[in-house]
Order: sequence, then C-alpha cells, then structure tokens
Amino acid sequence: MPMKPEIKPGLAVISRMGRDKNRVFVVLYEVDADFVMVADGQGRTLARPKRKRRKHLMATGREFPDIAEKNRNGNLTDHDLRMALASMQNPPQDPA
Amino acid sequence: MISIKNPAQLEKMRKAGHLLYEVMQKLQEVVRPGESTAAIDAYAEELIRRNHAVPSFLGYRGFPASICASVDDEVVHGIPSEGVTLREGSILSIDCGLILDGWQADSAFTVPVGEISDSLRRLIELTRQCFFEGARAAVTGNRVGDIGHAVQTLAEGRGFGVIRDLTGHGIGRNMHEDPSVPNFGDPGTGARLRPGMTLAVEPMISLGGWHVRQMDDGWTIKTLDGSPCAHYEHTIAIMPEGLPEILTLPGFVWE
Repeated sequence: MPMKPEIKPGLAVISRMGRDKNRVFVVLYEVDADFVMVADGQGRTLARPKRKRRKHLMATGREFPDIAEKNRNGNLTDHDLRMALASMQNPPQDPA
Repeated sequence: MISIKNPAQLEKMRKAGHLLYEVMQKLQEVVRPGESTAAIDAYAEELIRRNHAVPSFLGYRGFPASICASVDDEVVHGIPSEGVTLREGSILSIDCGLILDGWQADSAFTVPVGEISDSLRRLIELTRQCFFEGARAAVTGNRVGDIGHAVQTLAEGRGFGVIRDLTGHGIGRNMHEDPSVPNFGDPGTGARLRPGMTLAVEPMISLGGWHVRQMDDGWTIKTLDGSPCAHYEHTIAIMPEGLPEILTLPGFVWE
C-alpha cells in the first residue's frame, strides 16, 4: 500500500494552491495538524515565512535534514535555503 | 529512522513474501468480467488467514478491506465493493499485504479484465518494467533518489505520467517505515541504501498526467484527468553486494 509522505521540517515541497502555486519551498516547522511554515530564502524569507495547509503541499522526495537542524539551532540563513533549493535539478512542475 | 534487518529477520520477511506471492497468484486467477471486487477481497482474506497470517490492510488507519482494488483511472486505495463489478476491457490493480509471524510483506499488480486495448497493455507492461528498472538501482551504496530517478526516466521517456503524491516505503514490522521511496527524483539524493534495508518499491504510472484527487470515501485516489493508471509493487531487500532480493517474487533471478 503506497503512502503519502509526511510533510515535516526539512522537506522540500511544492505549493499546489494559491498565488505561490508551483513554487518550491522548504518546510521550516509544523504549526499544528493542518498547517506548516515554509520559506524559500527569496520570495519567502526566514523573516517572512508562509503558513501553508499541509494538504496544499506536495512532497518532492527531497529532504534537507541539515536545514531542519540549523533551523532548530537558530542559525539557518536565507542563503542556506536558496542553496538547498538550487541543488534540486528537476522539481516536479504542474504541466497545466 | 531506517531499520536494518538481520539475517533471521530477513528470513521471516522472506517467508511472509513467499506467502504473499502465492496469495497474489491465486487472486490473479479470479479476475474476470462479472466478478465483484468484494468477492476478490473476501477470497484474499480467506487465503491469508488459512495460512496463519493476518491481512495487514484490514483496519490499517481504518481501511475496510484486505486488498485495495482499483479500476481504470483509480490509482490506488480503491475499496472493494459488491457494487463494483469488473467489466471487459478494464484494468484492475490489486494491492495486498499480510503479516506473518510479526513481519510484513506488500505487493501489487495490474491485470487486464478480459480483452483490453493495446495502449492499456503497454501501460501495464511499462509499469512492470519501471519496477524492475527502479529495483536495479536499489543496491548498496546508491541512494533512494536513484530508484525514483530510474523509474521516472523510463516512464516519462516513453510519454507516461509518474504519480507523485504517493510513494513506496520502508517495510518491516510495520507496513510503512522510513524511508519514503518516491517514483521520481534526482540521482544521488536521499538516504543511502545499506544491506538489510527492506523497501516496498511501487511505481504508479498513468497514461496521461500525474495529478490525482482523493474521492469522498476518504481513500480512493483517482487521476485528475481521468487517465487509466497501473501499479506494480514488490517488497525487496538490499543485499551486501549485487542486485536486491525480491522477497515477494520467490525464485526470481536477475538477468
């Protein structure tokens, strides 16, 4: 039985709803059962992360545990986020 | 955390896998026009329990059956029903799991219902090939991303869609363990594959796009564009050297 990947800190996700549809973010932390906070280091920086519904995010399969760790330790930077997301060769895109 | 199985534990998973293979072979024989998916489900439960195992899907997070029976544009998690009667020309995906002596096995296939079109036949065969292409990448030293990259390259290279919302997974005492095993991705990324890891690799491939939607029953997943979708899955064990052992395909030898 296939599983739906857990939306968790450090996971690269794609927005499926809203004005940021198709943009790739990294999950920073979980707010509650329904929401997480995401950022990408440029349009959505650490100073202004975006609150997104889990069901409006698709897991990409790429995890950045070092990003999650740095965020927990309080020394994550927007540069770290940009570099992590730039390392993804082919984030899945919505062909529509 | 990813669990590594020792030889004794792998042997138990091997036995669970062999039993599931026997069950799946028998289920394949009863797929025919006019049969209900509920009847196939009842048969699956009987076969599993008769062999002193437990159907792992039944009651898992509330799932009400021993198999998932998904028809045509249903990707996965189709709920068997007396009201669903198989029709000539359709395709049926059966996904089944069991627990034997505390250890799990998980497997799936898609089969024709009677005579089907050439495009559906190609979809089923391509999906099966995607599993083996992905499994070939499941060797010690590679990473989980290599599996998905292999699947995605083959499927999309032939013009098929790769479902992304659901993934394969680690498996052992629990059905769903770390790591997640997507059917897409970048090579050289993700967790490193090590001997003793046991994974369920399960490409879900569509004739059209990869977007899906969940139906009101809370389980059934369908393709958004209505394209037929096929599913092929085996439980595999990463070996110290060479290609993985396919636990739910006993006797299989890699060419």
